[in-house]
Amino acid sequence: MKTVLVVDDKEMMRDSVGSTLQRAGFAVVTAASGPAALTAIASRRPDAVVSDLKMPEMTGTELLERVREIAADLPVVLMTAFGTRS
Amino acid sequence: MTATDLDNPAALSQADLSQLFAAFNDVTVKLQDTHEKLTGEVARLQGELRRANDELERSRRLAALGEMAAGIAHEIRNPLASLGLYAEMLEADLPQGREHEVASKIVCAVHGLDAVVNDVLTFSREMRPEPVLQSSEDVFACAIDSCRDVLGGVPIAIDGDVPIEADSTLLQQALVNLIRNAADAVLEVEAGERSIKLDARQTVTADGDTAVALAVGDTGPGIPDEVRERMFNPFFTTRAAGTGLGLAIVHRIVDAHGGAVRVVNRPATPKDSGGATIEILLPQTTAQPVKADPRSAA
Repeated sequence: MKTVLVVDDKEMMRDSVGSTLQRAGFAVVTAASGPAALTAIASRRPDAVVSDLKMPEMTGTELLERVREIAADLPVVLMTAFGTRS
Repeated sequence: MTATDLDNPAALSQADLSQLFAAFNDVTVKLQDTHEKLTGEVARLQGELRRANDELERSRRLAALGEMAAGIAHEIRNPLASLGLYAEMLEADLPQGREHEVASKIVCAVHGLDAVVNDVLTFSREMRPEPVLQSSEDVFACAIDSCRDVLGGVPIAIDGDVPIEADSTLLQQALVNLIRNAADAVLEVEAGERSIKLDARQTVTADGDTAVALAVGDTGPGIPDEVRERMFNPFFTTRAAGTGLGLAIVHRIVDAHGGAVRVVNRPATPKDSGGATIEILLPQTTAQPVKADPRSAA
């Protein structure tokens, strides 16, 4: 079973997105922040990362940059509620 | 007349005086003329300044509104997304019946709220069009595709094909909003009388400039004068559902392209059952677009 790491500072988002992915047949691990996500990736590399864009401490974009340094080919999906590219 | 004559006014002849008065009158008329022209120019410049200040103030307000809307949208959309996902899970889990129906209603309401947030974001967002050359027929066809859900069985026809230079996404959005409005308007007449016509042609604006007119005409009851005056105001709506931002968004998009919106009520004739037509007027382009090849459509 493929594993997806869901990263969001909001518990409800982690739970709802995680549950939806579980229903779609994925194993789900969660992290509440960018640094926690990097620790999780270093400990056990998931098959994909789904992360919120706006998070305190480390934004989704910053997380993506850090992930690229340690796992260049790991797919990362960034979610945003802003609905704009800027 | 000589300098000696002026030193001794008594020496001025009648002819000299007439000449003097004529010259004086001439100068007075010219001064008056110049004064009027200057007064007119000052008034025009004051008007321009007032409009520029109004526009600046409006831009500032919209920028502040945009910032606020983006912040609110983020705060609303995250829990809304969760709400939608939970409701969809419930909908999938529950057997058909009253509870399933309730879950479906929650899913529907969430989609509606998301559309409201989208409208507010679109309206308040700074618009920077990225114009590309395209064919009006292609733009119309794409807009119709995006409105299939609301058109039902209403016949919709496309007439005319002209090149347009406009931002594809924004123009699509404007046309989709107009078509959706037209689809709502025709619901007020008998089913057999319902139709929508999309028409593209070259035209002349009130200022005498040539323009491209993209018209969305419906066979609805027409638009009352009191509604016409306010229909582009944000949050003005005549419908129970709707944000009242659809036409305001159209206006902003067209404005951002340097165009104008024209609203016409068509009286009934033997060939036309009457209704309303809303035209988007865009500055004309002389270039020709490459038409979309229907065979290459995915």
